[in-house]
Amino acid sequence: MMSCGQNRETLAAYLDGEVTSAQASAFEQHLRNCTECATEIAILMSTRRSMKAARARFAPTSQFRQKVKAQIAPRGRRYFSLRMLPIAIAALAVVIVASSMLLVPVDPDRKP
Amino acid sequence: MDRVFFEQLAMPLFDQLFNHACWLTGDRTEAEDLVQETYAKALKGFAAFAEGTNLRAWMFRILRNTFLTSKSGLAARNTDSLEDEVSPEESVSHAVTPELILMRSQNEQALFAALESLSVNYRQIILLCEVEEMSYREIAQVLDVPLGTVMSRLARARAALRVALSANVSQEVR
Repeated sequence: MMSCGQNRETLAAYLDGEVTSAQASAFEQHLRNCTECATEIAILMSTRRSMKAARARFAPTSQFRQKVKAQIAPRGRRYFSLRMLPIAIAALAVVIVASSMLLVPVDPDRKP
Repeated sequence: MDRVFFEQLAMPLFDQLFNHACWLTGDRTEAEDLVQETYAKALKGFAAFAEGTNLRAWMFRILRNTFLTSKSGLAARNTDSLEDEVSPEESVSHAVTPELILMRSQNEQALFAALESLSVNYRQIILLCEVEEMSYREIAQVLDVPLGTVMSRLARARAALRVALSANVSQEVR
C-alpha cells in the first residue's frame, strides 16, 4: 500500500491496461497530485522499457530448430526413413550400371 | 493433417518458448530438453485442443508444467513456497531512494541480474507480463490460478524485483 492509500495492485493494473476507463480516469486525476504514485509509475514504465531486451536474450540454434521441426513434421514429409533404404540402394545400383555402360569405349571399326 | 496444422500454429512460438525456457532453467541444454518435451506433449494433446482457444497460453502452460516436474523445477518449487511468504516491501532499504531505483531500472544488465535472482514464480510472472505482454487472463491460464492471484503475485514480484535492484545499489554505494 502506498502512503497515499493507493493500492499497488491497482496502480500496476492501470499500467497493464487492466482497469476500466472510469478507473483509469480516476487514477489519472490522482496522479496529478501524488508524487509518490507518479514516481512509482515512472519506475514501472522504465522497468518495462528495459525489460523488452529480455525477449530476445536467448536465441535457439538453427540445428535445434530443425530437430524440433523434424520431430513434429507430418509423417509424409520426414526427411529420411530406414524403410526407404532398400529402394535407395536399388536406385543407386541402376545409376551405376547405366553410367558404366555409357563409359564403355566405342570401337570405330566395329561393323554394325 | 493435424500435424501440418500444429506445425503452422506452434512453430511461430518457438523462439518465445525457447527464450522463456532459458529464463526459467538458466541453462541452454535444459531449456532445449524442456522445449522439445513441450512440443512432443503439445503434439500428442493437440487432438484435444479446441480450435479458437488461446494456443500461446496453452503452449506456455505445457512448458511450465513440464518444467515443474523436472529436476530443477522441483528444486525451484521447494524454494518458492518459502519465498512467496516473505513480504519484499519490508526488505527495501530506506537509504535507497526511488530516484536511484528509477535510474537503476534503466540499466538492462542490472535489471537482468535482479530478475535472475528472483524465485521462479516471481521471475515467470514478470516475464509473462512484461516480456510476453500477456493479459492477466492469459497469465491466469498459463499459471492455472485465479485472476486475483495473478494481480497479487505480480505486485509481490515487482516489489521483489525492486528489492533486488536496491540491493545492487546498496552494495555499490558501500
